Parts: sequence; C-alpha cells; structure tokens
Amino acid sequence: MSSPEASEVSITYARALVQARLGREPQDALEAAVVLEAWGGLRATSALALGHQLVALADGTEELPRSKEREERPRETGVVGEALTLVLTVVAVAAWAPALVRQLGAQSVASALWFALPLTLSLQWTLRSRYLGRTDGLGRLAQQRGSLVAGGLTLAGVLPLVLGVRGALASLLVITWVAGSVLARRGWGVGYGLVLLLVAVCLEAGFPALALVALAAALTLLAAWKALPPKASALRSPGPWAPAAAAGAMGAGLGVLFVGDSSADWGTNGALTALSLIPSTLASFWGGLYLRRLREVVPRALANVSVLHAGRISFDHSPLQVLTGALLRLAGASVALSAALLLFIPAAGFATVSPGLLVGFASVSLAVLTISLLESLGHTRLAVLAVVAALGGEFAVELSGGAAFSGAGLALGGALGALVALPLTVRLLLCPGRALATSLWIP
Amino acid sequence: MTGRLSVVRPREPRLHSRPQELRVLLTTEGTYPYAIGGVSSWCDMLVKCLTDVRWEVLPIVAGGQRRVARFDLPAHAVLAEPIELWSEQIPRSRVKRRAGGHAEVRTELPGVLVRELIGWNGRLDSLQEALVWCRLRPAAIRGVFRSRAGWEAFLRGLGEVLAERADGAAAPPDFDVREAARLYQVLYWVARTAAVPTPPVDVVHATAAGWAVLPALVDKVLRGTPLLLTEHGVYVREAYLASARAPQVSAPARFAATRLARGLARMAYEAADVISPVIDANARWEEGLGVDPAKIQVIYNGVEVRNPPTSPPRTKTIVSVGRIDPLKDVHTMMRVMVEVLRRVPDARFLHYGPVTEGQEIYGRAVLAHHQRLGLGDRFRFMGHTPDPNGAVQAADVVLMTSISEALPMSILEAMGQARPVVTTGVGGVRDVVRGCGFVARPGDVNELALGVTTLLRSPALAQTLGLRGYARLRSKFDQGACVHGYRDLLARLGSRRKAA
Repeated sequence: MSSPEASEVSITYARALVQARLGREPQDALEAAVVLEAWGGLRATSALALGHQLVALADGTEELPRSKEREERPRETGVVGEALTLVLTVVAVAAWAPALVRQLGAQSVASALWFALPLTLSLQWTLRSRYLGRTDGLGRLAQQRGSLVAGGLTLAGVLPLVLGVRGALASLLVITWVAGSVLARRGWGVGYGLVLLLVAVCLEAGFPALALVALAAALTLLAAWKALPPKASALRSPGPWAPAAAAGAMGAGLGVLFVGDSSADWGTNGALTALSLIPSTLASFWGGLYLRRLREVVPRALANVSVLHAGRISFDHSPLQVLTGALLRLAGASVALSAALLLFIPAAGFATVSPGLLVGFASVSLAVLTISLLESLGHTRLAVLAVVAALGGEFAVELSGGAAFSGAGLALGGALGALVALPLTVRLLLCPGRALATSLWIP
Repeated sequence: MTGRLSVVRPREPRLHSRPQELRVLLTTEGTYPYAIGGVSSWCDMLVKCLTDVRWEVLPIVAGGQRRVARFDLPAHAVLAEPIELWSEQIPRSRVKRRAGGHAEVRTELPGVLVRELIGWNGRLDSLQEALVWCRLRPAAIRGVFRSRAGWEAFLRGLGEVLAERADGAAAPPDFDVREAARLYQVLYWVARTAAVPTPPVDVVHATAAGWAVLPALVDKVLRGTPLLLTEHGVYVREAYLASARAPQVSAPARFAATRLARGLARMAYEAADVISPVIDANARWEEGLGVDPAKIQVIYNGVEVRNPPTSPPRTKTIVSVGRIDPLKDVHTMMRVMVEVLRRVPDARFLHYGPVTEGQEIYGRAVLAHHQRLGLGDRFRFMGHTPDPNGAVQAADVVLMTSISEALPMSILEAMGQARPVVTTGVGGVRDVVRGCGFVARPGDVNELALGVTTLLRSPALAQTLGLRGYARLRSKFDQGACVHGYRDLLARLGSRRKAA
C-alpha cells in the first residue's frame, strides 16, 4: 500500500489514466499532474515531472467523443394562471368602480386611483427588482416580511390621515394590488382574482364599500404572508437597493402616465376606463412573454461566435427578431382585442368605449415593454429618461389645454417613451456580445 | 505611478490598537468565519490562541447569499465587511473628477488583467500596478468595464493570450463570445476585490493563494506590508482538480478557471514574503510550481490534546468525519463499506459531517447511491457534529477516502484519540499517517476495504497503530507548537515592517 514513483509508472499508463479521467488530452502539465496525483496516487514531484512529459506528447486539447449534452429549454410555468390573474384583476377593478363611485363619489374614487396606481406600480417594480423577479424571490422577500407588513400598515394609517376617505381607499387598493403580485408569484393568482370578483359582487349587492375593500386588503395581505416560505429556508439575500429604487421610480412614473391623462376619466366612467385597459394589458402580457425568449436567444446567438468577431455587429439577428416578434404581438393583440371590445361593449348595452383611449393604453403598453426591456438590459438611467420623456409628452398635451381626442396624452406619452427606449434597445441587441459583457454582466 | 500614489489615498477603515501590538489582516476565501471546515477551524484556533495579535478578518465570499457566522470572534479580533463577489452592489463612492471635468479612466485595465492573470507568463509588477490603480480609483472600475473601449481592450488582451504557445501547455481552446464575456465579468470582480480598502496593518496573512491574496498585492505596493501566505490545500491544484471533476464544463470555461487560479497563485507565490504550508506535501507542490524553497517554512497544523486517549469500543464501528463533498469521495467510502460488510457482516459505519454548501446535488447523489447499494442502517449519515473528538471516540477504525487533502483535521483527531486510520494517500496524508495506519491509492476500494477489515479483525494491531498515532501527534502535530510557530513568524514579519 505505498504510492508509486514516476519511474514505476510508464508514460503509456500515465497517458491512458489521464485520458480516461479527463476524456481528452490534458490542457497543460499541471492538469496532468493533478490527475496523476489524485487518481494515480503519485507524489507531487513525480506527478509534476510526468505531467510535463505528457503535455509534450499531446497534440492539442481536442475532446474525446462523449455523449452529447442535452440542451434543456426552461419551462414556462404558470403562464395561463398569470394571464388569468391579470384579466381577473382588471375586470374586478372595472366591476368595483361603479359601486365605489355610487358610495364614495366620483371625485374620491378618481383621486384615490390617482394615488393608488402610481404607488402600486412603484411598489410592484421595486419588489420585482429586489425580490420577486429573482430566483427564490419569495424566499428573499420572506426575510423582510415583518418590515413589509409594517410598511403596509403604515401606508394604511398615513394616507387616510392625510387624504381622508380617498386616502383610505387608495391605501387599501395599494395593499390589495401589491399583495396580489406576491400571490401571483406564488401561483395563487387565480384565487386572488376570484376574491376580487367576489368583492365586486358584494359591492353591487350594496354592502359598505370601504369595509369590503378593507376586507379584501386584509385577506390578500394575510394570504401573501402565508405565501411566503419560512424565513429560515431562504438562502439568498435580497437584490441591492439602488436598482430597486430606480425601478420603483420608473414604476411610479409609468403609473402617473396611466392616470395623468385627464381625458381618461377614472371617476364617473371608471368602469369603462378600466375595461379599456384589458386589451393592452393582455397584449402586453403576450408580448412580454415572447420577449422572455431573449434569455435563451442571446446566449445562443453568441455561442460558437468566435471571440475575434465579438465587437462586430451581429449578423445573426435572432435577438432582434424576438424583439420584433414581441412588438408585433403587442400591436396585433391590442388591435384585435380593442376591436372586439368596441364591438362587445355596445352590444352588451353599455356606453361606448373611446377608441382613442384604447390607442392610448396600447401606446403606454408599448412604452412599458420597451422601457422594462431597457432596464433589464442594464441601462437604468436611460430607462428612467424614457419614462421622463413619456411623462413630458403627456403633460405637454395636458398643458396645451385640450386633447385632440380622448387618450391623446396617453398616446403621445407612450409613443415618446417608446421612441426614446427603442433605438438604444435595438442598438444593444445588434451587438449582443458587447451588451452581455458590458451591460448585463457588469452590475 | 509612484507620484500619483502619494497624492490620492483610499479611504482606510480604522483599526484601533495599542501602540506595540502586532496588527494582522487575515484574508479568507469562502471559509472563516462563515463556513465549517478545516481551514475555518485553523483560522479560529489561530485567532483565538494568538491573543497578543490585533486581528482584522477580511472574508471574501460569494455575494447574494445569506451569511451566518459559524464562529464567534474574540475581543481582540474585528470582522471587516466581507468582500462579496458576484454581488450586484454598485461601488458607493463617486468618480473623482479631474480639472478637465473627466474622470481619469484606464480603459486598458481589462486588457492588462487578462494578459497578466490568464496569460502563461504574467508579470507581477504589471498586475500590481493595475490593481493599485483599482484601489486608488474604485469608482472608475465600473465605468471602465462597462465601456466599449474596456471590452475591446479585453478582447485584444485575450487574443494575445489565445495566441500564446508555451512549453508545458497545449494550445488554448477557441473562445466564443459568451465565454469571453464570462471571463470579462470575472476580471471585473478581480478589480473590485483589489479596490476594497484595507486597514493599515503590520502583516497581511492570506489563507489561500487565490482571491484572498488580491488585497495583499495592493497593500504590498502601497504600504510595503509583508505578506504571509498559508496554504492548506494547494489552491491551484484544487482548482485543476475541480475542473477535472467537471467534464460537462466547456473547454474555454475550464481554461479560464484554471488559468485564473494559476495566475493568482503565481502572483501570490512571487509576492509572498513567507509561504507557510501546513504540511510538507504542499511544500513539494509549491516548489514544483517554482517557489524558492528558502521562502517556504512548513508549520504543521495541530490539535489540542487535553485528555489521555480512551480505549476503543470494540464494536466494529468505522467512523468518518468530513463534509459530504466530491473531494471526500463519499461514493468510494460507501463501496468500501459494502466490501467490508462482505467480510465482517456485523460492522457498522457512522459518517459525521454536513453537505458542503453548493454541493447539494452531490449530497442527493450520495443518498441515492446509499440506497442503490442497500447499505441501510449499517452505514448512517449522522450530520454535523460539534464534537468530532467525541465522534471519533466511538470508532474502532477511522476511514478517509478523500481525493484531495492537505493535513486533514479528522485524521489528527483520530490520532488524538489513539484510533488507527485507513486513508487514501493524498496531499500530506502520507506524511501524517506514517506507521499508524493503512494508506491506499485514491478510489482503490479493495485496498481500503482490506485495511479496514484487517484492523477490525485484529484489535491488537489496531490498538498498537492507534497508540503509535497518538505518540506521533503529541510529538509533531501539537497545537501549541503550531501557534508558537505562527507567533514567531508574524512577529518577525511585523518587526521587519516596523523597521522599514
């Protein structure tokens, strides 16, 4: 039971051992020496000497044949549930609106939504950046569940104090929607949507509005608490604050974009306005889902492209094709679903939905898609700039005194945001190698 | 370069100490105080026993993970904010603007790093100059690496490295853009690690010849701080071993990982004032890698023996203490037990140790193999033990099947309890287990099983070998001698620095 010396091991045996272990020739003398020591039992000095001889014999690092690696495509799970959650949420909001307006007044509801939408989007984007958009997102969030609930309760306390009834409604809506995004991440979105619909039914039946919305907020918050895994099971820490704060600012900006157009009446006609959101929401979801392919397509486009050509513009346009596909899906679905809505609503005996509003929301969805893509490509500042441009466009329409059509501010703002974000996004996707190296992988 | 160094100084964390106290910065990599294992235990022993040293512990860890300190630091030690690799934290400080309004940037930085660290014949002075630049301008690093010029400089440097033809190395593999981008990211973290400010100390003690040395390379230039390097396992050897065990890894990824380890180790060896491996076997590797033997001073790892050894239980119990990790080759351990059970059916096996963090898949594979072999209760996984000596006391034989070790604590603990050892002859194991156990080739199930069976069937021989091991431990691997060796060495290096 003693270790062999180099002289006792033939070079043929050593080479065979190294090849058998590595499945190829060694890349250098050190690698051969390490194998000879660990699996051949040679002493370090002998292994190093023999390693040098082996590399001199080897004629390259060519791999020996071995079974081919199977490239697994990540499965998209819960997509239908996610889509259903979105639809149920928007429909529920539309269904809540008339009863809320009846009981609390159009002005209060409009003001509450004015606060609630930007705040909700801001919190949702922050949560996504810091926790939910990451691997083990719920586990990361679980580590701070106490402070999150404290934040929710503070919100529920402060807004009513400052703004009265509309503040109370706003805070309850924010809690419901934000907690709902946690439920959707957990895969409980459909249940969440059904609770919202149940509340809508109760509202129509004449139950007190604020009490019902408070009940919905409490239920979703409780469910969100339950949706989080035990704190101790979390292995990863939350993402950094700086990008999360930037994401939050962008979310808030896009929220303001949604409610900033005065021609979109969130008060008296709140139900129709909310219904007008459905086509663009679904279209945006479909486009975003298609865009997720970039996670596979970008690395695939770069694999086997020699490093010598890394700086050139890619002639493999597959990343761009994905972007184009996503935009076409968004536009196509928006048009088709809007047309369906325009036909369905009057047929059902309701007032007509404004086509301008549908165009406006579609335009905002386009901006959201491109801006969030730009942000995920690591260009947060430019994404913020695009949000600012979008808001600038919308406010310009507001300040000009009158919109040419209902939803004109939304349409112009969304278009401007997309126009700022899109060229840079295209540029980045044209040189995916550099984008990957300098933007995505250098935080 | 020197002129610039005197003008701009990085912000330094304050380390309070008494005037004549020796101040030592202990840099660790993925170990102390956040992980359990041999290196961490050794660090803990050193920090707690050398009470006349003012320690600052600087851990380098993988970012984005939850960290729980597994060791409490004594009052004379301070835990610095860990350097988190691969985290998404952006450096806090702002870029210093020069009179012209532009930050002084050095877009060649990625090119220099790839040439000096990945190239076959990288130069220490050139690397140190680049790393010092990083320390002096930490906020500029991100801008450099996110710039087109930085990426292009890297590609030029990488092109040169890939065109190299060196004696002792085969032709480098072709890199695709994705692999190149990965390496670029790694070098960004090299720069970020070097940029982290360190306190002014008398000695930097690095516990591995890898990332843990980066802060020391900068301190050596900026402050002339001596570097003491202790290698438990040989860093570069372990990196190559990991790559050899991962056949699914692509050739460029393997090339990048091993070349980086080689580059870091070469720089560490060259910059170190003293290299103190814990066992002679490591010294042989280091000499084989070109280290001047005069620089090497072996200080054996040691354990504290408080009580006389207990008698073996004679229950035909085999014990192994170690993490469940590919380097421990637990599959071979289980196959050995199958062989042993054929010959000694009433033998039983107890394995103590947790699954290494990040090796959960291996842990599951081990359990599946256990089930396939039908070992049942004859081979039990006992999990982590806070009392390895107590675990070893229950053994008639201690078994180790590692494919890589330096000076394993589990073997020293077995010797401390006068238990015979059956082990693979890797790293420094042969030097330790001389005349007090059986040494077999790695992965040799029959040889290992034969050793275990022999000792189980011959308790008298087992006792003789065990007592021989106990005597050897007392004479050579004593904790007091180990601590004394480091005290002397640190004092010598510290006084050299103070004299300078």
